[in-house]
Amino acid sequence: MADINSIEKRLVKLEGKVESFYSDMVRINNEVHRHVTKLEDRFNRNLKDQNRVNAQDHKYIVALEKRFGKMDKNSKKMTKQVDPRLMERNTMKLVDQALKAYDQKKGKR
Amino acid sequence: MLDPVAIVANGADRGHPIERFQPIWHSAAMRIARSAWADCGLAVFLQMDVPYGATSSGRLSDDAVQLLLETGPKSQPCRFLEIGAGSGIFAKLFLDALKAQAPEIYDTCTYVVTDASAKMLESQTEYGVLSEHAAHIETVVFDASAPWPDEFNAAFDGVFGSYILDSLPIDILSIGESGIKQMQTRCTLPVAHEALQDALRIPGSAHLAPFLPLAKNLQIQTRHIEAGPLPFEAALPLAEGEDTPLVHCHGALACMENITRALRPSGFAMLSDYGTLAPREPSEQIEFQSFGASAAAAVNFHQLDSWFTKGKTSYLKPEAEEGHLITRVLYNGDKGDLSELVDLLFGLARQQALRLPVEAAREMLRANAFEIARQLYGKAMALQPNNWSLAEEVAELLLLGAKDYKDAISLAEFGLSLNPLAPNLHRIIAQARYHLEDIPGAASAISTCLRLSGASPQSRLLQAQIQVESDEIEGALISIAKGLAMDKEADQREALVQLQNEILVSISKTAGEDLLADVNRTRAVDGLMPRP
Repeated sequence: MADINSIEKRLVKLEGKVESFYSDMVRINNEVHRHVTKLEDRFNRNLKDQNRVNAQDHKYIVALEKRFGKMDKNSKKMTKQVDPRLMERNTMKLVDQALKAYDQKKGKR
Repeated sequence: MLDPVAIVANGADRGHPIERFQPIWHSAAMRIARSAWADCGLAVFLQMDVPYGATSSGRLSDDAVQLLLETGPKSQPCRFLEIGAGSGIFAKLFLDALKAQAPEIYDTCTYVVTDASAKMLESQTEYGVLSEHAAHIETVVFDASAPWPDEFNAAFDGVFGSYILDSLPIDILSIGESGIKQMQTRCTLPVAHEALQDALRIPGSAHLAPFLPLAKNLQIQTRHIEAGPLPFEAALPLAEGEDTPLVHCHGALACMENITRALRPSGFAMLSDYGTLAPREPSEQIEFQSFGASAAAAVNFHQLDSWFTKGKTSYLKPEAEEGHLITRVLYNGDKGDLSELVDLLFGLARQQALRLPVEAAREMLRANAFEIARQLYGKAMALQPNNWSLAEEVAELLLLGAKDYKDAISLAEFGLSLNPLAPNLHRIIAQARYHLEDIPGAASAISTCLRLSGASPQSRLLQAQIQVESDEIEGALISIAKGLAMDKEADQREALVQLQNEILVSISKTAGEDLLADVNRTRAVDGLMPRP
């Protein structure tokens, strides 16, 4: 039969080992937690930066879109303006206005 | 010590002075330019060195008749005076319109045609400009800037002047708070010229005509000095503010004062010229316009307007106006009689109605839109049916754009019925007949055109083309040579050289064929003969 004292000694030793394991586990857990927290922070920061960059890009793209939209509109207008038929119509309109103004003036006499 | 500003200024002092500093009107440049008028006849107009289409197109002549009719019935035969009549076309078209619209006035009227150049009046007679109205014409050599004779006092129902105010004495001044300064000029030449210097010492300008070729080499130095007594000083603005250039048109003022004295009761004067309507800006420089060898400065209408609105004679101007051809009317009667008509005839509404269709038509021609141009020219012609200058422009469109050769001929012939001396109208007829293969007709028209104005490379090219069709090869080559010699701008050079090459190739080809025919005349046909 084993000596009770030796068993207790072994138990105490085991308890010590378990406690040591436990404290190691806690330390490791804490480190892992800290590391994960740090990574989370870094990730959040990166995400934030990325969002900011994205927001700026978005703003820039929207501005570009607006500019292109405006250019499209202007080019349509220009196309209309250089359309020979429209030019002719405008010219004739101006001429007719001038002739009408003169006719009216003449009519008043 | 070296003065960098003086070093830079040195260049301005370069050349040999041919006169002392003096007011611009008396400078060698202006005197030689004036001598051009004394020496020339109608050629300056026919070659378009002086653009007379604007004032002698028929539009202003028609307007003058309208003004005359508006001034009411006349109790005595009418007398009209034209100063600086130049081509005589204004007078011809005025009398044409008067004959058509008021034959009773025409039958008894007299039109006194005057010009400072005797040669110009002789030239008018030589070309027969006014021959249709000879019974109503008196010609007098008269310089409008000289004192007016007493017999002109209250002698005229109408006085007309186109592009004459700009040829009367002026001074160029600089007016500001530093006082009134007169611009003086001194002409220099790259090399000394004693003969010219001697001639300049003799007063007057007519004798300077031999020196006209030197005019382009004259350099003009200017300086401003405090002005002495000036004619019409009361017509100058107050000397205040920044120094500002001003054309002091004292010659025009004096001439218009003389005109007011020359008008009978209800008489009117119609004066048209190019000029400025507002005071100049301090930074502006006054420039002269050159017409051939002659020179003129824009009339300061702002000054004339300020001066004459205070006068006794009614001075009429439109309420609003634009452009460069400005018209003023002096009327020896109640202003109210004519003010509406003056505004209608010379105001903005009419100016735009006359200008826009023509400008738009030209724009359409540049875009090759011939049909819309034709429509616009139609509108323009409806407003000015008696404008030969416009008829010429439209005939050119019909000829080159629409290729309506018969219509081009009809319109050009109509233009010639108004102004028989327009060389371009004859050229258009010649070109249209050439396209219609009426070669004798084309030859006759181009010969008239060249008799009027021989210095047109375009006409010489056409003459050569017509001569080629008539087998006048030698004549064609001579016409090409003349065209090349006068084509200073090289506008027709390519076409002339191309035609010359075609003629030379054709000569060589014919000569080659003749030679071959000659050396191969004898043919031995023995082998081909059937054996007996």
